[in-house]
Amino acid sequence: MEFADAARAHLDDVYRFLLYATGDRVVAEDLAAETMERALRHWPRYDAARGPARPWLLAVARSAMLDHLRREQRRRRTEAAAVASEGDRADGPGISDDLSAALEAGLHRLSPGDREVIALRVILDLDPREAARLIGVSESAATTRLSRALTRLEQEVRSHACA
Amino acid sequence: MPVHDPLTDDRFAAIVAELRAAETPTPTELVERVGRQQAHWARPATARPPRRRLRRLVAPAVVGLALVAGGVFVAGRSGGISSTTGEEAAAPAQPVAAMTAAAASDTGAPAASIQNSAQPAAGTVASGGADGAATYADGAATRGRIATESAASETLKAPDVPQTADPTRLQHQSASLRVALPTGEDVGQATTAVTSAVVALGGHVTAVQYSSENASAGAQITAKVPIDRAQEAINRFSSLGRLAASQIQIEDLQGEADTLEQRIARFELQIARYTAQLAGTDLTTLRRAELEVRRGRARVALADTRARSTKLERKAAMADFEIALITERKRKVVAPGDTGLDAGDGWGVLRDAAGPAAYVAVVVAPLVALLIAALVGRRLWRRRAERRLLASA
Repeated sequence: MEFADAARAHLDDVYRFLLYATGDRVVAEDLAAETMERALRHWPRYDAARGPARPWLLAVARSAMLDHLRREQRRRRTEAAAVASEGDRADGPGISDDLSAALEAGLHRLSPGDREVIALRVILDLDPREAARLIGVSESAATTRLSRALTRLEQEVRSHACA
Repeated sequence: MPVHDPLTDDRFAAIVAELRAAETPTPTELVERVGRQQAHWARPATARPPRRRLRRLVAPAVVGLALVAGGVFVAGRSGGISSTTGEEAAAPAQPVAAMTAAAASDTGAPAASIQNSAQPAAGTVASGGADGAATYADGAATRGRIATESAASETLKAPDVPQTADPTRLQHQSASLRVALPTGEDVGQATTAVTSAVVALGGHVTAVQYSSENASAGAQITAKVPIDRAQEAINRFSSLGRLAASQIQIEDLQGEADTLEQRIARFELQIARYTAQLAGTDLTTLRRAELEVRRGRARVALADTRARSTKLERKAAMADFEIALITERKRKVVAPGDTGLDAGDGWGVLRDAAGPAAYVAVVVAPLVALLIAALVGRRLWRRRAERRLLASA
């Protein structure tokens, strides 16, 4: 399989994962591009015999996202305007125009870890084993993490509706 | 125990359905951007070598090689498990081969030193091949030195006295033989045979040391044999058992003998002159006394020099022999599938295995444990850092 084919087939999944995991369209776009760049550079290491390209690309995307979060964390520590940037993100474009305001807000209030597991299991419909392998935890831990994330999301949606 | 999948939980059905129904089309800009990147990175992507994979291969290979080298070193020191003769292991380390030729500079005496030995490694049975190298050097003032030495695990043939031994010159020969015998009883009988042979050859035994322990015994015999029967003695001693090692040394004494002869002639001449002067009648009492003292001193010196000359001739007349008789461990005939070891060898096997086992336990095991701990720790630390990052960001 050529990289161009893999990229064409899985770019949507990579973008959607990053979109839900970061909660930011602009960041997701940048990270998706970065992911594809990394994947292209490391494509000779990809071994089709060890698994399909999709989980491999998602793993690269996750790595890119973690690096982004680290950069953000450092930036927030050093910059005084960190709080302002949080506010900017809330005002930015949502994850999807089809989502209700409550669900959109609820997703934004979740941690990236919660959003990550929701993106993998709900949006990309990965099975528990694949998702667990990608996150680097056991299958039961991944399922528990998803349960907690959905519970928190439900609470956030409910509290938003009440407000 | 299977964990309940929350995606099938009715509580989250509405949320899950809404999330899945929401469309999130990939922006066209992103698709174009990725396309441009591919065009830009296409060439380096194929040319870039997989450095990380190489590192992953090289590092364990280096560690593995180091451990194997250490293991081999320890195994080598412990001797390993193999059938061997005790005598082979006990044989002193000797140079593999050397051939030296030396010429006495002042006398022109031909002299050469030939050393030839094949020393097998402990725990192996070697055929005893020989290698050679030659060096040339001047000998001591009036002596040359000739030595032939051999040692091997297999039976050597009785060595010949080197052809450089010149019967027309005054030379001293010494030989050292190590003969292996099957049992301790054979050592006792061989000791008797050696002493008898020495006497029969016209020589004499100067020292005998005999010791025995359990089934093994050893004897060290020092003897002198007439020089003209040295080769015969070597042949007889070598035939007593398996000749394990031999060394023959020839020392040229002709230069020293010539010097002593010249001194004797000079002293005799001096004495003759003093005697002739003393025969005259016109000597004063004082002069006569002086000449008599001088002649007396010359006579003493002459006697001393003659004694030294006689001693040298005696030394040259008899060859020195050192015969070491040792008990050889029996070689076992090993049948196919048989280890050739009996219960008595159990301790030896354990001892041989103890070195590598100790190496593994002391050196390798802690290293491997540390390596595993480091890898696991690093992984756990990374996971923990990721979890914190994803929870707090």
